[in-house]
Amino acid sequence: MNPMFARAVAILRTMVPFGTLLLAVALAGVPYGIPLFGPVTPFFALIAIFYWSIHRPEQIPAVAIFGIGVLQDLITGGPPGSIALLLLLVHALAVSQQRILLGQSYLVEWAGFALVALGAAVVGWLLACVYNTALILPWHFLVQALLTVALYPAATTILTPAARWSRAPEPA
Amino acid sequence: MRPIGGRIGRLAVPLRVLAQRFALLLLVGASIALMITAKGEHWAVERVRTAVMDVVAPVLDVIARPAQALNNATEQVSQLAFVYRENERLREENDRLRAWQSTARRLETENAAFRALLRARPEPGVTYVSGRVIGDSGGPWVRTLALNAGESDGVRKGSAVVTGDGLVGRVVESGDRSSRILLLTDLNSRVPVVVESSRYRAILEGDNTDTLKLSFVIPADEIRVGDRIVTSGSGGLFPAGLPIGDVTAIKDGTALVTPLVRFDRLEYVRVLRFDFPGMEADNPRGGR
Repeated sequence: MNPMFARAVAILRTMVPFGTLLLAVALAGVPYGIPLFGPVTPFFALIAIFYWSIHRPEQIPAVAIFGIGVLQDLITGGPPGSIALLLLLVHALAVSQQRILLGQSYLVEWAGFALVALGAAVVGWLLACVYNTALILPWHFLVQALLTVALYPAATTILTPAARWSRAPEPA
Repeated sequence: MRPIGGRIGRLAVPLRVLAQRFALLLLVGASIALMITAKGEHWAVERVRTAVMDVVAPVLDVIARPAQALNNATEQVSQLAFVYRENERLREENDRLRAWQSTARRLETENAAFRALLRARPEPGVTYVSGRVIGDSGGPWVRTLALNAGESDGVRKGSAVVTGDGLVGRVVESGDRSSRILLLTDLNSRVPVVVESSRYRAILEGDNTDTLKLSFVIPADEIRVGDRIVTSGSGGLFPAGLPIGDVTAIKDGTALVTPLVRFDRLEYVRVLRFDFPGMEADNPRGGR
């Protein structure tokens, strides 16, 4: 194989997690036109962050997570920093539980994600209330979390082969 | 004796972990600081947001098209099932509208004559810029939409955004090629309105749900379910008389208004521009 081409493919493979995060952000901003769907659009980036934090934490540095979160905030019109904060907290939690979750059955991983997603919904709702200094009804946050949890198996059917193809960056 | 490289290697791992934790803490702090800065409506945040949206808008535009095409297709299929009933309804509506048209023509002539008699100051002319919805708020935080038209098309911050059904919201950020609309249903939306029949003034507030609340002051017996709510024109931001919604319930003295616009089905919207008589429009291209 041409060394230049091989190098480009190698770089591309290290960029897979970041690419899926960008895709997740883009999917969050799409107007789906489904009745009542807008405020409860699944938190796609949360799925990607949790998955990569468990399976390839070395490939998603905190700076990249912060950037992705801020980008989603800027695209969707939310308070800049809010999604970044949630994603960083989820990343920290998932990495700390990596040893427990890795190697367990898929159901355990899914249950772990469900807990994290519901926790993120509660924290997100509290943040929204504090930010707006108003008591916002929590239902949209909870329904969004449930939809995100329901979507996890479908998302991992794409992320798992992506993780196999991807590989960690070579040490400098 | 152990090699020095091995000792350094053993030290480097905890140091790297420590550095990663420190970076994480720093970024969590940066996120909070960013939220506080944004809360203060700092001009830099708005500038960055509009610049990013200008760059991302073409990408969102492309991604949004398949979703909207799919929606249109499903809408058309579902409408096929009701085409006969819909046709009957439209016929009846057409008859009713023709009657209203002749009334409107007569009133228009009368109105012009009375205005001339009174030497009334003419109402500001309204032109518009059309744009396609390319972005949603994608979650429960805010109720906004992104539009593929910006300042270069004549969109201005603060302008009213409408569809054929009624008021959608207002432009809160305007980049060069894209803009962001704050929907009526957003928690931060406040619109001066008037009850069409009684002419009582009020403020219409969003609360991140699908209904709107009338605040201020209308005596309870002066407002009824079914009353139409329209813009009052106070403040000069919106033209007067834009339809917004109907009162659908009155709970604990608060009137709940259901908007006429279906926010989840929006594809194209119009951004209104005031062009006062004698003033030259900023954008010679006018409507788009």
